[in-house]
Amino acid sequence: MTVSNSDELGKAAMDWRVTAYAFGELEGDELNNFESRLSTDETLRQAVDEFKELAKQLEGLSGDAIGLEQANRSSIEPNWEDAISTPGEPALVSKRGKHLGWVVGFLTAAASLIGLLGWQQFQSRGRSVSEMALKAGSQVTYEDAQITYEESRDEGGLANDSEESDSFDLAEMPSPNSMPIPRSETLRGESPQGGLNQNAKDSIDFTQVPSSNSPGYRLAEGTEASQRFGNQESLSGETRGGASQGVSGLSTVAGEEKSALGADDSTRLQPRFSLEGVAESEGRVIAEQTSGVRGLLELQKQPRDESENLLRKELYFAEGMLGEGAGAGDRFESTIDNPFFEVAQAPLSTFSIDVDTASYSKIRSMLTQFRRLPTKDAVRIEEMINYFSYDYPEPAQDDVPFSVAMEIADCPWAEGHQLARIAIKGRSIEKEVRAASNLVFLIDVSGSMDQPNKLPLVRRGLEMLARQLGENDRVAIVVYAGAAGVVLESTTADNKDAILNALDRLSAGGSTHGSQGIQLAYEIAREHFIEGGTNRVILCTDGDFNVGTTGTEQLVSLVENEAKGGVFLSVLGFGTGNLNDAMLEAISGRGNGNYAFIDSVNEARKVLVEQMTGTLLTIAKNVKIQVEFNPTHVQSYRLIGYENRVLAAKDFNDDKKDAGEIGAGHTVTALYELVPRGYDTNGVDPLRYQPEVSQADTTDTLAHQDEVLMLKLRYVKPEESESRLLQFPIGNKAAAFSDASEDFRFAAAVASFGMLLRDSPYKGSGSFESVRRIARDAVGADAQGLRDEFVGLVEQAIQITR
Amino acid sequence: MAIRNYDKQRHIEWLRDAFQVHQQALVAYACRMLNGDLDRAEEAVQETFLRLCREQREEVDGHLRAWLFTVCRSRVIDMQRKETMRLAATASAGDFEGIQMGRLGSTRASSSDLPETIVERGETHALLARLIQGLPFQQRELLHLKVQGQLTYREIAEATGLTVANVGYHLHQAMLTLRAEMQRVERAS
Repeated sequence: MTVSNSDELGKAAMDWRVTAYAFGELEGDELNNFESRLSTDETLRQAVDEFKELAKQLEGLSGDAIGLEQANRSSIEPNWEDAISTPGEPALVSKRGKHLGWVVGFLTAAASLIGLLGWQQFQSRGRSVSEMALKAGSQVTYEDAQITYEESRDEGGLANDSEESDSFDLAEMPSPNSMPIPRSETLRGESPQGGLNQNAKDSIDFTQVPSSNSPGYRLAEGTEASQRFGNQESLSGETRGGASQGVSGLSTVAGEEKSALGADDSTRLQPRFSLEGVAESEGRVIAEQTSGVRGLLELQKQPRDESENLLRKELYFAEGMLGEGAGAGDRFESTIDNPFFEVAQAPLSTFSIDVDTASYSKIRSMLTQFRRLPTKDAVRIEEMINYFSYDYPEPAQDDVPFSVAMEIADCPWAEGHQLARIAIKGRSIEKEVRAASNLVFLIDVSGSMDQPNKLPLVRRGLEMLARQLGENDRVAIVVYAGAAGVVLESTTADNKDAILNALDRLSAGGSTHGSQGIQLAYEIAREHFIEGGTNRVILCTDGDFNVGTTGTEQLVSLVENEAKGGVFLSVLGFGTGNLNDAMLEAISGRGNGNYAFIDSVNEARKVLVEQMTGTLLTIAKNVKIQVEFNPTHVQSYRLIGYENRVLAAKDFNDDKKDAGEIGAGHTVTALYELVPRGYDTNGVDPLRYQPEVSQADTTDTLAHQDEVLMLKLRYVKPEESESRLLQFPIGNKAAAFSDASEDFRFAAAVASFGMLLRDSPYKGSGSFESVRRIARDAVGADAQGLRDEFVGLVEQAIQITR
Repeated sequence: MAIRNYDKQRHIEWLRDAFQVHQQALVAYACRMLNGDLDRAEEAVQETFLRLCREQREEVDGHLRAWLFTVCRSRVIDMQRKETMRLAATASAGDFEGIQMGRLGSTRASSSDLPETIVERGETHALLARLIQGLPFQQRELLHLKVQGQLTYREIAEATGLTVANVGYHLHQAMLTLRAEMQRVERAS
């Protein structure tokens, strides 16, 4: 450090702003004033130089001899799952009060529900309401269960213990008024025999049925209109069985792990709400009373939608309470993989498509940069599969924006099972032909972006994109950090120099809050709106941002409103610490755009050059898929991935339900694992009230019996608001796995890898080695080397787990 | 709201990312404040993140770093206080003042050498570190928050309860002192 020999600087140096300036803390007017003083005051400049030097030396102290290495840090990283479920306060007593209130409230509501429904059904039988209610809600009966419940909740339960925990909102408890009246024909559902226990197990779960807005197991008045397969008989049969079967599917998950439930237990499952260990007889009495109620209504799986999935929570707690088997009660999955559903009871599978790819990028950086297996929660299998490009055929007809294909082959990780792959291809738009684009790049230039894998990468990527645009396109650049600023006014894209210069001038600095960045970006986009073109804000951030609205909800509604007005939002995430990953994904979803995570120049090229039209141009929004399986051919099915995208059957036709978007040229792949009819009943007893469905019986009487499934797709054109329907009946026969197409086999390998990373109960006989073998075989032309890279990731995983 | 779609899994992802991004700065800060005691610094940081687990994300978004440092700082101060009291219980009168002034660590510092000696060895960094230890507690803390924690003035203000102007002033004082001391030492050598 150059030391001045005297303290002449003394006076100038008295100003605290010298230090602030040296640390880069001055902003706006203050900054301007100071800098103008600097230009005239020599001593001040010297002081600043000295202080800057000192500041630099101080910063040099940071990473020094403390000897911190990334590798060591994992030792202090908490176990997050445990941490958020065991808040750490030793005394359960203090929380018990809160929990008590919760449980009492729940029980009261449950009791009133049971009361109402039971009354409707048992009215003729002369049981009194009060008797039922008393039994169901009796404190005595539930007391022990209550306590076990809390304790296991603390060990294995969800949610923090804050007052307004959104894990359970009493206000959302179903009120009796919201329950639909069961149809009389389904009274057949009652039975005095073994079916009792089948329903008993989830008698409590069931009554926790949420109001129309909540997810979890829903009441529906009946089945979907016009079932394609099967006859009316099995329809109403479905309404009875659907309930328990749907849940038993899930409970099978628990069962497999806990082995507390035997293979034949799906009809004789223990009550889930651990009435075991409590007066057994009383528990059973309640079960008996509610089983009839149980059977009347159809349950279908619903997404974790506006509020937390109450039923899933119930399962988490129940899992913990089963109290048997290894690890019972002390761990649980944060997302449950989609389970197998029996076609006879739940023939419809509905979900929203997803073309996000962020999960795969994250997994890749975890494996390659940190040499660790990614956390299970970060693994979204559908995003992994959809990361790769597949050679699906272009849509043939002009007015239909998609082509849909299906391939079925043997499943490589489960003997006797099959895989059905749905392949959707959105129409590609030639770059020359695409409509004009009006783009505003909204770039986070806060201090945290000043790392080599962030701002410089943003610059490179946007440069690459800008080079592909033409005179009909417009580009503007808005930055936000301490304040928002327009770095480049909207200019036609043939002014490459202006654009590239502006990008060059981007530099990081300043704090991350208090700006109006996103509003400014939208303003500019609207100002230069191109009718019939692409109008889009592209947000580039590392996630640590606050764009001037006071909360995430405001931000989301801003984005949503703008999307309605035709300005969409895409989000590009950078850097390894995307703090607001969930928010970024949500706003890009609401903004009718997509979310990609860019961790390298290659990825930037992929997203912004090769897939540019896809990234920029949405060809369909709110895209939903509904599959109906033919029980003649398929016994049960499991959707691999898309756990967060699952919809209720009735949502398929509900245009108000938001779903994913597809960009031009994007492909969407969904895999179902199928158990063919007759292969394996999985220990389920033959049904008493439904005709045994077999191929021999039905060919004469029913139509469409050579079809395996019916695929329906609803989408909304970007400028419209009503959905359109496409339908594709599929009649393939399954091929041997080795005969399946390369794309199919590769997708299967990726799915298997994802399941292994998630330690899914359905991974079957898959292993990293088998994944590598299958993937290697299916690398194919691989122009971008991405499949090869995948094989490399699998090898990393093998190394790590060796 | 769509946000609540992404429940526990996303929360954990967020926590994990928060950890990866901030833990190093927090540990560096805590370590300095605890005078090189890495174990306790790590403990403090771990506790900080355990606290984070219990927070609603909406409360913390937008000023996460400041929040983390606020919590970590409290933890660190608590630890120091306990240590002070422990030492006070066993200390002699002479030590006591030193302890109270927060120069607790001078006996555990990386070097108890005189600044002049350090300079002879040409170790400017060590000199600076040594000089920082000699600063009054508050200035030292603000400096660590700024440098190790990389917080902005506003974040430091939030973490310490001071006003931004206060922060600016004290940091400036610290810088002045350091600069003067560096000059003095270099002149002496």
